[in-house]
Amino acid sequence: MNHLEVSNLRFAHGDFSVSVSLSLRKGQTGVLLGPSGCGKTTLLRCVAGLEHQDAGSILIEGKDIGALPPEKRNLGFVFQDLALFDHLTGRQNIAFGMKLRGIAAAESGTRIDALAKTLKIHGLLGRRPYAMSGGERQRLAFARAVAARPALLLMDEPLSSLDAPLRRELRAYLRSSLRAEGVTALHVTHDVEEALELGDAIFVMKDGRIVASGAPEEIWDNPPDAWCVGFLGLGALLPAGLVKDSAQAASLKRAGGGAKGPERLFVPNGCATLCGAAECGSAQGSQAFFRGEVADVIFLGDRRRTLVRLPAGSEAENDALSVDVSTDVPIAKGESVGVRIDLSRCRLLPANERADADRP
Amino acid sequence: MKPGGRKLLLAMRFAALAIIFLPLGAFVISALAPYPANNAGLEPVGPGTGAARGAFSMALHALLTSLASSQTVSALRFSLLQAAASTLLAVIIGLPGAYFVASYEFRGRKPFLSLAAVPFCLPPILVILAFILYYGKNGLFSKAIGAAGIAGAGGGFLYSFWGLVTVHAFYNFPIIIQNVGSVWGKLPKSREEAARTMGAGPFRAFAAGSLPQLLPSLLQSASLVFLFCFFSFTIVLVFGGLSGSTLEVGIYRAIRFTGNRQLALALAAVQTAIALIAASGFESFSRKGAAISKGFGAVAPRKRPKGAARTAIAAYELLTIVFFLGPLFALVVEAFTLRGSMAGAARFGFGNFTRLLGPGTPLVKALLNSLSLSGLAAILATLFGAALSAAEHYARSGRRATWIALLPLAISPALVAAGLSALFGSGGRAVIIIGQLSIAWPSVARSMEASFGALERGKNEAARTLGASPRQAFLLADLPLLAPSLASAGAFAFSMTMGDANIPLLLGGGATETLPLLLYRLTSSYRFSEACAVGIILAIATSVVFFVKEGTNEPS
Repeated sequence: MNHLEVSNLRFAHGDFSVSVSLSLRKGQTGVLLGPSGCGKTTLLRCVAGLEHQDAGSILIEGKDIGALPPEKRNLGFVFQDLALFDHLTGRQNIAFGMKLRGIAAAESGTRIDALAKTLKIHGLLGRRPYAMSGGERQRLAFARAVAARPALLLMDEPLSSLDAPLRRELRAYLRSSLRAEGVTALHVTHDVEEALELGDAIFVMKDGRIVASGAPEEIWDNPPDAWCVGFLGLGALLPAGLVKDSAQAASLKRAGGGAKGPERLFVPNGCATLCGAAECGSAQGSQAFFRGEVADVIFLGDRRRTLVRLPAGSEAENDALSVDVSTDVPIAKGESVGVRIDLSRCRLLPANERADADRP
Repeated sequence: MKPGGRKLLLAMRFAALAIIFLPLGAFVISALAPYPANNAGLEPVGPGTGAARGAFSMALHALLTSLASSQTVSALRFSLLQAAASTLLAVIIGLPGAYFVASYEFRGRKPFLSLAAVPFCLPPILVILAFILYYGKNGLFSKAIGAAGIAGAGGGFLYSFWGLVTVHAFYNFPIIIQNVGSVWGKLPKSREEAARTMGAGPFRAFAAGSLPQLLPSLLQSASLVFLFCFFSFTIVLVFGGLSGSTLEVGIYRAIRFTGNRQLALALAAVQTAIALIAASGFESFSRKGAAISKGFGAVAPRKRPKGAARTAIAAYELLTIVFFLGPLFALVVEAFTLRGSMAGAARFGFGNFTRLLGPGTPLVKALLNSLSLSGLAAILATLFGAALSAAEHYARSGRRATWIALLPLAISPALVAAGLSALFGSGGRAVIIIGQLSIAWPSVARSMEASFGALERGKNEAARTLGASPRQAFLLADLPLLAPSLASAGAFAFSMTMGDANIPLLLGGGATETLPLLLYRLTSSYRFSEACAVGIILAIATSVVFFVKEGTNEPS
């Protein structure tokens, strides 16, 4: 049995609507990933009872909590702005939920000390939240949310306001703490890296709908459409007619068993390499060779990222392919180059609309 | 929203509108009641009779005639002119102060900001006394400039149009300092800096980058000052002198002395129409200001003033001490000055205070009356104002009816008092409490509405997700954050009611002596020193707002 089961949940507000079904097993961390305004937070707030869904059910351990007020749902919620109580000390903040849920003071004290030690905030429990650093406040908010051992932990982009190094550090903390607590969690983010690091299951959302779901590997291997490829940064999207060889074109796998409408050629990251100009235009098994033009070269320290526009002379920025080369390969912008693509890993995907505008 | 919340909200709105409109309705009925035309208001005639209908149409005709009368027109012109001039002068005096407190960290900055409470703490009657003692013919300032050989403006200036405007401006400019200064201090400099990088000079950059963001708060404060001056009663009564009469004074005179209720109603209608425009301006600028300041980021640290800025601040402080704090100083000096006999010189002592404890000057009774009446009225006003704001906040009914708490700003207090008198009669303690409640609750509701608006919804929601019921979430998450502003609003309500002389004067029927009434009585009989002693006691009582406000400030 799934630990969390959200079925046909619908919520509408003006023109915007959310329509979602998802499930999580006990101890799993699910990540709602999507661009701003796609309905991730609304879905989380519906699960928490802070918004009321128009239809559908929310089950935790088989019990329908969809009609219960927030305080009866036995949840933990880490808010985007953390929503810590500045008039209470760190210890009182953590104790808040346990006291309301009738946990004895002695047990609550032990639990607070243990949590604070794990999260390295034990020296700060006497302080008020405003006297703590961003990272300390974040850890305090996490401790407060999990202290009463909730049946489900909800996290609404709690790391978004932190700077990159601290975000990385806290992500690692969060990952290990979630595993240590064994808590089932639903985490909202628009950061792909964060979703990969924390999520056992990822739900990619767009316009109030889940457009892809599954383990990270499944989504990476089988993106459903061009929008997902663009949003997740999985690779390049090239004109479908680029592959001229009929045998090769026929062998290309199609998503969804051959969707109707315009298609794009999805070239996953790492499928393309630079090659000699002599091979251009030829086909060799699953290898196809194209002539392209270097649109830009970006120095990345240990390598250089070369953006090659295919076919050569194309003006469409979207038709650029990214190929990483060693720093000792001499290459310059505007140069004509050959590109080898392993078509066995490429697929034809429904084009959808362009994803670039939604990319975080 | 739950149906219970909606019902409670509607009940609270209805109660607020009833408090506002019941006295008003009672007055309108009394003004248009079917009295015989040639009867100066002795006995009403039976309803439905021909005489009654004739009398009603005559009253209506009198009202319409009064609306277009020269008396109304001249009172309107004078009210508008003095309020506009007073507001302009208050802005001119207050703006440099607002800039200084916003931009610089200097000695005396905090007391400067505290000055904003003066108009709320000191009753007008006390300010009048202070100005007479300082700027009057025998005042400290007049004597000092006379001794320095400078021809002073003389006490006569105080009783001219510009004297009235000056008193109003001095009474209200701290509001500009406080309100505009607090927004100016939080204003991000980035827009101004962006304009500088694009080639604008300092003034152009200020006009393009900061002024548009500052303007709503400036206009908001200016419209508030305008409303205060427009409704100014006691100050105009004393200092307006021969230069003219405002609508409010006209209403008071029409009710109190000539018994011409149709004229009072006509003046009140005109006054309310103008005040509604100013009040809606205030509301609109407040909303714009709040929307703009939501986008403000971290506050830049204030600089220590150097060079010309330091000199300018020192000069501004000196002028404020001489012109603004001087009158208050004169009040204290007078309270402790014991006038000698013809032969003896004046000396300092507590005699003025001890004399008030003797027979015929019921200081203790007045103090106890003031404390009990104002205390109860303030508690009721705080509970009602806060409950209305809470109902608006938690019902989340979409559009909030903020205009309800603004309406009383546009209604003549003299009319309300007369209406209450028509409803409940005068002379009782209960009617005084109701009258004071009706003047104090709107300020509580407005300030609590701002505090509820500033509450972060997330904290309440966090409490709910942690297991708190709506009531527990309010008590444990919201109330601790609201408590300082609730205490502060309550203290302001107490200061307002404690310093109010109008309601006990108009509704007390002379039976209930309060501190402001005692002060008024002593001033009328030229016992200035004792009046100042009462004033000091009254000022201490009303200044409680300072201590409450300072004591409840949450460190952050």
